[in-house]
Amino acid sequence: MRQNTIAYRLIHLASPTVWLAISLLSLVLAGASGWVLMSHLGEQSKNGAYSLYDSVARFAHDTIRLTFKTDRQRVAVFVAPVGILNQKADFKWVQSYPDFRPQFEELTAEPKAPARLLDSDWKPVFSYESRQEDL
Amino acid sequence: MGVNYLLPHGFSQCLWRTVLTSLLCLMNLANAAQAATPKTLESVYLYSSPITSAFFSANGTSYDGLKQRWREYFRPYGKSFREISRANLMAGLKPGILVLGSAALLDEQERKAIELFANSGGSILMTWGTGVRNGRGQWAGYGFIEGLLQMKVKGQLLSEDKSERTTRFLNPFGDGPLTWAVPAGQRIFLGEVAETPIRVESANLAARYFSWERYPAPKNGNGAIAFLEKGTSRRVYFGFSESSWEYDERIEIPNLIDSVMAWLKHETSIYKAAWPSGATSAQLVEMDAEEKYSNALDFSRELSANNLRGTFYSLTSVSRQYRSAVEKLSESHEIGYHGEVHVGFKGKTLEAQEKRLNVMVTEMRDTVGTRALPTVTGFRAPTESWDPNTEKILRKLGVRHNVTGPSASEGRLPFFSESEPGLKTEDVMVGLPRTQMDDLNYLGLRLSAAKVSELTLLDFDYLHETGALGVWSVHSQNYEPGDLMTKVTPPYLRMLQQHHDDIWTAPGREIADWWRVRDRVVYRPVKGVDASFAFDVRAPGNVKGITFIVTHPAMDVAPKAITAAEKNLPLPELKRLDAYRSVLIFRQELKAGNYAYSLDF
Repeated sequence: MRQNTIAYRLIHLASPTVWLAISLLSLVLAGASGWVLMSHLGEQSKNGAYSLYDSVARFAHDTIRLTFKTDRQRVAVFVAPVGILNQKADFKWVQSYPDFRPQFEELTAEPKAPARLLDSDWKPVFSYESRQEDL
Repeated sequence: MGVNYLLPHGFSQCLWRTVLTSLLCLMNLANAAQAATPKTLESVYLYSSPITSAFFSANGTSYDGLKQRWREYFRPYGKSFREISRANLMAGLKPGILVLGSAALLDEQERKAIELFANSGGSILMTWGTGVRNGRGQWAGYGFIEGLLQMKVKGQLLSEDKSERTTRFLNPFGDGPLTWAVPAGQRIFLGEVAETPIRVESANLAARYFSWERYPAPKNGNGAIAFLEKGTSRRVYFGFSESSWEYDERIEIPNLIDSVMAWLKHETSIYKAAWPSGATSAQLVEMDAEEKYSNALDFSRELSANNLRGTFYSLTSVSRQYRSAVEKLSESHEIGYHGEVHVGFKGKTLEAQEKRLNVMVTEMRDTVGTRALPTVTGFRAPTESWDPNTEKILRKLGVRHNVTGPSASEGRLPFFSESEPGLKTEDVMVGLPRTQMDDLNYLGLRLSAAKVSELTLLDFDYLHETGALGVWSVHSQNYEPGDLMTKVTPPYLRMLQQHHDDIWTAPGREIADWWRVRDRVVYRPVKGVDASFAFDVRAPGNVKGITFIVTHPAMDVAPKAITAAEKNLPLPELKRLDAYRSVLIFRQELKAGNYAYSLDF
């Protein structure tokens, strides 16, 4: 590296030990700020953050794998637990499980007329809340 | 005056009773016919197995990765598609199609609910290791899928010593009741996934696993897609998991699922068959006639003895020394080009190729004469080495088809060359891929004649069930009396002769011409009208033998009659092909125009 460049001078502002200390401190600060932010996030946003992390991690992993051709060693990609078709494989057994909650189940509910439709005294108010009440 | 006054009272009553009974019988018959044709199923359920999901999570993976493929596939289905919970399954589902995508863990209640759904007429699509583990995750075996499909699981594709690593190509059967949306024998790579595909043995298969070169492995352990119709329930099993879809670069698996779903829904599908006049597969028998040219005459005699015609692709520098042999061969068979010297063309400059190919044509003219030269329209490159420049020059020289090597196409059907994009299919070169192993491959294996004969006959069965084009290729120098190929060719040709009703054996020129003729027929599905179809014949017409395949809405419920939309339209021959398909063969020559028909079941 040429000695009169800005990058060279910036790097030599401090000794390697100082730079290491700065890096470690930055990491601690970033982790702490992340933790503070996460602790104030709602469940949905947390899931969003995890999913973003997963996407970035997968992208980085695939980029490294495809750039350096590590897949030449034919490392199998797996989705199911490894050895699931192996009779003798050992796994963590399922003790309990939550049932799947259909995302659009409410849409599949049969439409019905408001209960008070035939009530002559009923003065309907055309708002979302009143509709929910009727249903 | 009423009839009652003329006839005795008892006779009148008897007459009325007979009429009523006949009417009742007719109504019963109509009802029975209606009952035999199940209604088309609309609802599609993807089972979101909660136990599988919990098991995957507990062991560091996510079941969503497999399920997501189905969610994406079914997105266009809109409201007819639902992802269902265990509670939904237990509560009972309306008739529809239940998809169990690698739902590896199923407890006893779930198994019973699925069986009940199937026995009530529901259709089921299962993949990979569905039900191999119980409700806790312990090994349960393949009994669940074996029972539902009445098949036998033969193990995983990848054996312990990893020797079967290369057999990871799915080859669906062309024009089959479940896989007609994908060309015959199309190589679909299933990837190096950890979810190793499962091999099955079944009486009803729709696809097999093969190696890239389609080595004819034993039949009893390479089934990839199995199906079963039991009562009104239709069931399909895919031996590969959803993670293999990742490797499907040409997006062929969704097409394949389209036709599988149509079958599961009990829909009547009508599609253009690959081969003419009701044939279910085709065969080109050819010789690369070069050294020891006179052996071509022995090969020709063997063909003629079986009433077969083939093509002799001749190395022109050699064939010009055997004019009388060429003349004799051309009496019964087709003569084609095999280059002027036995050196490949690939990568050579346009000028160099043009010079060589001009010499080739000159030498052929010198051999067959100027009058017969236009009939030489086929080419097979020496060492199967050619490139787009070769085809461009050949086309200008009047060549119309090229018998290529197995890497030129992923399928086992003729194809239109892409060397000159933009050309009309009437003008474009037709490629005929040699997807069978040839004499050089078999000689390289160093096997006994008996073993090679066994392999070739196995290959014959595979070609036929796949609805593919086979190319039996022999070099003249390997057809000396006593050679391996002189021992294994006659039994193969005899098999072709025995199957002359359902295998179309023809010279390369006729197969390539057929492929162009077939392309003039454009199928037009008629929306909203069940079992109706229409097609256009593009100019210049002259289409003879075009065949359509009709899938039955239920096993053995074949169409009874076909009606033309207009009186002057020709009626095709209606023939039952098997329990699941019928064919409509237009034996008469069709002119350019529109054609519309409806089927009665």
